[in-house]
Amino acid sequence: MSANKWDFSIFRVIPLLYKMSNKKQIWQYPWQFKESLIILSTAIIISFILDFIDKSNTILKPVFPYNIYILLAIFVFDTLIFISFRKTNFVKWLQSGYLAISTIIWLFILVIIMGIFEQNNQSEGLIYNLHLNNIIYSKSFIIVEFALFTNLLMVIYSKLNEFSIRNFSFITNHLGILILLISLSFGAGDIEKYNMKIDTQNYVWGVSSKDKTTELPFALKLNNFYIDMFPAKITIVENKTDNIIDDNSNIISANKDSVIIFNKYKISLLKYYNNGVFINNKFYSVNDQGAAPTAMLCIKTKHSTDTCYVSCGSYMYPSKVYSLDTDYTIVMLEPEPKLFKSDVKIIYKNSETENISIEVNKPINIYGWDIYQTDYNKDMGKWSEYSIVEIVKDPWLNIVYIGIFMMIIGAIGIIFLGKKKI
Amino acid sequence: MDLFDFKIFGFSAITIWFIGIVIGNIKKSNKTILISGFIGNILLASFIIIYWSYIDRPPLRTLAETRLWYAFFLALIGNILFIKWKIKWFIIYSLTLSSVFILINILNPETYNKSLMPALQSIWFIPHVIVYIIAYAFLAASFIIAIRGLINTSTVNKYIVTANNIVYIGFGFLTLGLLFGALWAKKAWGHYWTWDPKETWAFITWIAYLIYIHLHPKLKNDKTNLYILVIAFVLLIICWFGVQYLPSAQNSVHIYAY
Repeated sequence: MSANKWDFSIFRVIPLLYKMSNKKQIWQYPWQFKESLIILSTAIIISFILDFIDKSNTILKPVFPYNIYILLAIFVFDTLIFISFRKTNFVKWLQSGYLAISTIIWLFILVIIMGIFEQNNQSEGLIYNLHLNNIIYSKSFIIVEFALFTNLLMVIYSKLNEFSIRNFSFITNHLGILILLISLSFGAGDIEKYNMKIDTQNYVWGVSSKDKTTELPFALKLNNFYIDMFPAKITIVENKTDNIIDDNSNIISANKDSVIIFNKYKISLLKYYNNGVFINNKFYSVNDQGAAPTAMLCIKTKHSTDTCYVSCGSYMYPSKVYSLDTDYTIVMLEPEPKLFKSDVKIIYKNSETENISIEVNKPINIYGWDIYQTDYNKDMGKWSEYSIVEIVKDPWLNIVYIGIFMMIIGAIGIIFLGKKKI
Repeated sequence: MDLFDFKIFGFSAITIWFIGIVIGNIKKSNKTILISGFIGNILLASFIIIYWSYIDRPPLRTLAETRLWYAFFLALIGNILFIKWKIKWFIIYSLTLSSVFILINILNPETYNKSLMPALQSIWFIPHVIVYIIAYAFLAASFIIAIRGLINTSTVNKYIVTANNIVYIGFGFLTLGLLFGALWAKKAWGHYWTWDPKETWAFITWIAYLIYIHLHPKLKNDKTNLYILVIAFVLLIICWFGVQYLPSAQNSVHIYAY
């Protein structure tokens, strides 16, 4: 034993499971890991072959009402099988942990592929032919989803007849996952998602994507785009490499009384202006189009004291830096946004209007459409003349929330109940 | 306040732990180790509180900040499990691992000073990250036990039982982290699950532990249990620190955390 204690036979999981079910002839009931893995792997390999032959790479994403028909068909089919054959070894296998493990292992493999290859990109060759760049719409993924669906449904049915806290936790976990699986796979086709660019000039009534145009029951117009920036940071750059001197003590941020002590220099902030412009090299603190954050600094050495301005500039004005010496320069970094929001005017079909503001992390909902603040003209920053909002409709959302809620209950159950003593 | 202060807190915690472990071992006094463990924890907690009030935002954004919390929770879990089960080697390992994370932060200070972008300003921010860090700390504990069990082949059984108790707690928190993330994503980005590379890898980690949970009742006391825990933790580390290096992650929305 001790000779091979570090043999690292990590991959002996599968041979071991093989061995575990090896006491009986294959295909003799009860089916265990061997049979589960053979059946599932065969189905998945066939689906990969089919994907390889099918050069069109059709995306299988059923939409309403077909998704409901398919879901109901599978559900009724599985349920009938359970009711009619619940005492048989076959149904016992369908609800077994062995099928669960095989399915989860295949899910694991497919998601690993997803985690390695960039998804939804335009790949060529084998990756494209095997749908590896679009795993969630590949046939193999559908096989896994189907196996999970059946396995989960069967095991939930089988647990329904006994009541205990532990069973309740088991059911909320598994039912929660089943609900999420259903809404992610069957609901995907019903999600509508568009980007809408709004400005202060016109109302926008419809939205369109690559393949579809939708008219909305309301229209949007931008009243005002508002952005609040964090104070820009001031730091030192090495001229030779163009790199920021990487140390926290070399950053001044405007809201603190911080001082940079660098080589022989002591740099401190005298005044910070959110807006300012330079005209003929003279600074004016005004809030005009294109005005940029500017700071007045004091630079002290043993022998001299100097004041200077640095500014990060904007789309209209160049940045302003200060050369400390031949090696180092003081610069102001582009400020980062703290908050941005669009004050919009909504007009409904009946001509009623409403003013509302849409902020990041605070979407609004109108007639089942969620509206999110997503983007603006980044080059122009706070002077952006438009705002981009995302408009999303997901009729399955409440079902997803039910699934998530059940899984939260289940997870709390796992934390407190833990492992069943064997 | 800048990083200099963290050096003081960090080095003090490491030194106190080191002295506590050495004296505790010489004098065979578990109490000494435990007291040093808690003093170090209090030091880290004080730093987190001071730092939090200084930066005016929850210190949960950058990798360095997650390492800070991780060091804190890992040490805390080590201490608590020590009280519960009296496993001396475990508290030593968890304090050592916690020290490693503190050292990484002392040596890589540059990620500390960052402001909070709008998408991160949400009530979900704190629960999502804290729950994840707690999960990671528990799962690291199970990893340490698994490694120890693989070295000590004579009593595999004992290690599997201990690891099991911890994995279930860690997995529960991992699930909560994933779900809180989904709820937050819906508010911030319009969809609860987008297969963003960070999400995909979080899911991979979750499935790895899911496999463990379904497999170990079948494996009973086989050593393979411990191997799976090791692999699962490697995947967790890839998710935490490695995703940014993968070709699939070039358009990740989690890029701010890197």
